Amino acid sequence: MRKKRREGSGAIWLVAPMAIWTILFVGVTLGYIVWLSFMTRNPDGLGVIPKFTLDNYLKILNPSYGKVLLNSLKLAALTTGVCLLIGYPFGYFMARAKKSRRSALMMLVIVPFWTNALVRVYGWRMLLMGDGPLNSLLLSIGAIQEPLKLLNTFGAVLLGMVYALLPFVILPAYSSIEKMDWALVEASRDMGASPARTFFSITLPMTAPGLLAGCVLTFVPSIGLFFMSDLLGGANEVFLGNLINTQLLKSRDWPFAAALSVVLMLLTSSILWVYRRAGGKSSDIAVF
Amino acid sequence: MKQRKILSSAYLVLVLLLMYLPILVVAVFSLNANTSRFTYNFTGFSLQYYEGLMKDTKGLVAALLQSLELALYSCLISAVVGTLGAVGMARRKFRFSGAIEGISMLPAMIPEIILAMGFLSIFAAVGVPFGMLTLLIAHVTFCIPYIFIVVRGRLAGLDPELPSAARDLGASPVRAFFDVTLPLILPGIFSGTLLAFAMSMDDFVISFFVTGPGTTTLPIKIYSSVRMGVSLQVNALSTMMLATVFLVIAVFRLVRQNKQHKGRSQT
Amino acid sequence: MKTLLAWMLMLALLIPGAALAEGNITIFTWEGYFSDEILQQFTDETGIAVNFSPFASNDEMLVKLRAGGKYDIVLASDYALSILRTEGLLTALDKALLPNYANLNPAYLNQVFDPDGAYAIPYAAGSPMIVYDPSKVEGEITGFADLWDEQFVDSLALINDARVMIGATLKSLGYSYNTTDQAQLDEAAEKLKSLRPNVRVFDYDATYQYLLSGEVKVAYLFTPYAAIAQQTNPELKCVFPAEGIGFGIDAMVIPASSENAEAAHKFLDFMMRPEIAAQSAAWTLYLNPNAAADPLIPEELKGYDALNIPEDKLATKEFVEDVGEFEAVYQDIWTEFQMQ
Repeated sequence: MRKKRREGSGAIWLVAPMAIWTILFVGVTLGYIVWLSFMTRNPDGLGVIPKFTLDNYLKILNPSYGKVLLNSLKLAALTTGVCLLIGYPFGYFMARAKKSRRSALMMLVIVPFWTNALVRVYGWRMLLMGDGPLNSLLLSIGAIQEPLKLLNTFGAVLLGMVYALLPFVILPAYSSIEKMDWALVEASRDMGASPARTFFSITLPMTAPGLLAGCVLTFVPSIGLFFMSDLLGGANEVFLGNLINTQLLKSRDWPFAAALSVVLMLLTSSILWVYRRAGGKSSDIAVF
Repeated sequence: MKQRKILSSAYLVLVLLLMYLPILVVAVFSLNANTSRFTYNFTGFSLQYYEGLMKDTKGLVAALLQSLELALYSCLISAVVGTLGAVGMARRKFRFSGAIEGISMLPAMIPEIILAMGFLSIFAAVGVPFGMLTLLIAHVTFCIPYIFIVVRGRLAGLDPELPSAARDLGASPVRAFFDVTLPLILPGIFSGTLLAFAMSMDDFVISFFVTGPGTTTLPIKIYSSVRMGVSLQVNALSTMMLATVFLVIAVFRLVRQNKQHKGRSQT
Repeated sequence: MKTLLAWMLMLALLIPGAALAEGNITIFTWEGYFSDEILQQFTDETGIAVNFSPFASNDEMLVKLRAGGKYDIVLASDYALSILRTEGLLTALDKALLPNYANLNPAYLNQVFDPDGAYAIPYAAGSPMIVYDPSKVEGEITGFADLWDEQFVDSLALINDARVMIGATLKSLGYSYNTTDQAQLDEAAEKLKSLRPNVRVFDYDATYQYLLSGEVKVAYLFTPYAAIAQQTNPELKCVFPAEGIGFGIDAMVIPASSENAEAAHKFLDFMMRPEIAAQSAAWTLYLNPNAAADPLIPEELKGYDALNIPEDKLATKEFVEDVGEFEAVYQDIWTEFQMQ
């Protein structure tokens, strides 16, 4: 009896620093953003007038802004899909590799994170330029007659997004597949099921948590990423991140930008809520 | 069976090749003899940019050191706060646990620029001078959730009887934590910190808006190079950073393998 | 653990303090806009250390300055400086401390953004040009209107800036760069929409790379990029639009928040020396606003069309000016245009 009370009462001090920090720096800041979203923009363009309004949210209903949101969702969905297609098999093969190889592979996947993200994207740009190494190589071996226009396309943007977020599918998939009970797979094969059948009825359902975590970890950041479109896509499309940027810095409409951000926050929170409901656990997202 | 082995190895190699392709380009272009600030086509091999880095005292290297310092302090603080929070919440079910966890994760879910503006406004309103302090606060704020989530996941998989057993054997709560719990969750703290470190080193939007005059981090410097072109010295620096990381990891593994061999030969 | 925390806190508080030591100035501008050699020379001569704080865009600069950022020198674009001026965030220059002020070319002084010449020292000036590859283009391009031609489908590279491009469209319709007439803006929006199929890429700084790599046939480029393009490929043709040119001056100012105005003045005076100004012009590849430095400009620069604007074209110049709340209207038009 005494032991329980002692343990329980100590816990509050452990949690206090994090609780205080979160409320102070996250709570207050986000609270400010929410408050901002209901304020009126000062017509002089400087700051806000403390007058309550719902205009900022109503403005979002404008069809062109709706299109921006849809664009972002489309890109996020495609990115997630391609990441899953490429990343899941990678995680699978990684989990099946020799034990000594696995940690080496893990390192190889994580280390690129340690180069600056901007520099890596510039790397892709230099590679894909009309007069860059890729085109020069293809031209010199005669595979093409004219340089390929690889940059400033939706494909280039997708490539950049998938490239940046692939590890977020590989790692949870790997984690999930590694923990799996392979005896079940062997049993299924022993009983005569084809590899494909085994995969779809045993492996896939058992590694669903990993798949789900991968989806969430790719989808959520995809919606907010914007510089991919500027650097690789020739800014040919406008995404939610670009819009918020423009509204904040150029139009200086802080309340509207705040409203857009609140909507984005609600969107991603609801995705996470759905994830939790579908049985996803925090431990599956924590794959690092 | 052999066919499958070849297939899986081939796939792994192919994807890894694609992942390292731009990095390879960065490395190769860092050896470019081209001296122009604006055009990048390859004109020959040269170590000029590495030499430039060696001589550089005010520029990229200083910014790198600033970034490393910031990342180090941020990770230290957030590791402590996040770990304590995770341990505390695992120990007793607080009613507000879910709320704190949810709120702490929100910074990861909205575009950085709005968070940056939020921080800027709050700091300006309170009158905190912009500089290392504000940078530190901002970075710790977005680093904590990474460590918290990982450690919590790790704790969830832990046998709760172990610390109790330690207590039964007479250890104080503090002793039980440091000798039993901590070693078990250390891998989690480590990987969470590594990730938070990478996030801190990469951040430019939030950093730009909360930094002060005289404090420039590497990502800010690179991002602000837009008007005059990103210097190929950046390529040289990135290549060197990567090479250093690989070197450190290789040494680490060699040391570990050595220890394992020693351990085996002793038994 | 505790001592570590204590050390960290101490260090964290010490660092900002170190930056405010005597005898140093902090410059706030784009990375690489000043040559390191010139900055080093200044420090060697005067003993005043130079801290460099970079920003990526004028808008970001405005946010930081409004939030109370302390800098000694800010180098930014005219319209942004004008906003700072009207908001009282600048210190008036003490001309007695600036003997080299007489070196400046009067054509660059007392412009719209600083009517009394009390706050700004021009550093670089330019005007965007249309640059194209004549081997890939039928006929000649003389102005904005030509860009709408059908032969340019998916072949244009435009500057990713609402005011610059909408301004160009307004000019092609015979209106002002800075109109606040809604009807005119609507007309420009419509005309702009019809240009969309021709645009392949929007970029701000790397636009010239797409022209040089052959991905686009025509690009609208800022002065230094036009010069680079011509330097790399002398076959390219550079044209100042017939409808009238846009013009911009990047200038140095001393913010009111500066704590070392005296040293800041020394820096400004140093930058106005003829040989320093000539070096700066060669570094930035923008127009040189310092008359005394004109004879010292390297020969090579005189060969670039971008750096030699004919008098008659100069007479048509128009600055991008702040349009208050209409800025949001321009931005919305641009967003819609990009989204198509």
